[in-house]
Amino acid sequence: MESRKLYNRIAILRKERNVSRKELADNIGVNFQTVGYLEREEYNPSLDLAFKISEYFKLPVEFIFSTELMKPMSQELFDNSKKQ
Amino acid sequence: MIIQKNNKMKRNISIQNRRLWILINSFALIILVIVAELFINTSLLEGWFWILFLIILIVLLVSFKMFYVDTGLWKHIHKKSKYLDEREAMVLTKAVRLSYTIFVVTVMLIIYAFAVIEKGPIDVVIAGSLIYIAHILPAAIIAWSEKEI
Repeated sequence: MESRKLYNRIAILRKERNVSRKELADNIGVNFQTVGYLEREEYNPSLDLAFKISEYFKLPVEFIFSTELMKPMSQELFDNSKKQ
Repeated sequence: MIIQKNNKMKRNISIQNRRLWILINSFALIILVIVAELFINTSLLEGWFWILFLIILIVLLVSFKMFYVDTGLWKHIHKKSKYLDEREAMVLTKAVRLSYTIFVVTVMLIIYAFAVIEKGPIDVVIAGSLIYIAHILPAAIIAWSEKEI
C-alpha cells in the first residue's frame, strides 16, 4: 500500500532555531541522514517519530506535518495577525 | 534506538560514483569467474592466468573497498538492529528482500544453464562467487539506491 506524501516544516524550524541536523537527530533518536530524508520529504516518519519531533520543537504535530502543501510560515503569521 | 557516534571511517561518495564502483565490482567478478573457468576447463590461459587473475582480483578488491568499506556500508550492514533508526531498518529490510529475489533468480539461472549445457554440478569457483554475491547484495542495493548513506 503506497503512503501519501507528507509535507513538513522541519528544515525551516531547524534554521529558525539554529539547530544542526546532527543536533536534531541526536535529540529525536535517529541518525542525521534520516533528518535529511525527512526534510526533503522523501521519508514519512512513524507516528512516534512525528511526536518526538513535535515535542522537540514544542509545536503541535499538525503545524509541523501536513498532507497538503503548506503555506509559508510568514504567510500564516500575517494571516493570523490580520484575523486578530 | 542507540546512536553510535563512531563515523570516522565513512567517506562521502556521490551516488554516481557508488554506482560506478558497483558496476566495476560486478564486472570484475564476472570476468574473474570466466578467467578461472577457462583456466580450469581449457588450456587457453595457461601462461597468463595468474597475471590476469591478480589484476582482476585487485580491481575487485579496490572496488569493494570503495563502495562497501569506505562508505561505511560494511559497518552499517553488520550493525545490530538496536543501532538502526526506523528509516534505516526499513531500507535494510527492503534491500534484503530484493537481494533474496535477485539471488534466487541468479542461482536458478546458473543451475539451469549448467543443466542445459550438461556441465554437471556447479564448481567451487561458481560457488565462491555466489557466496560473495549473497554477502554484498544488500549493501550494493543500498549503495545504488540511497542518496545518503
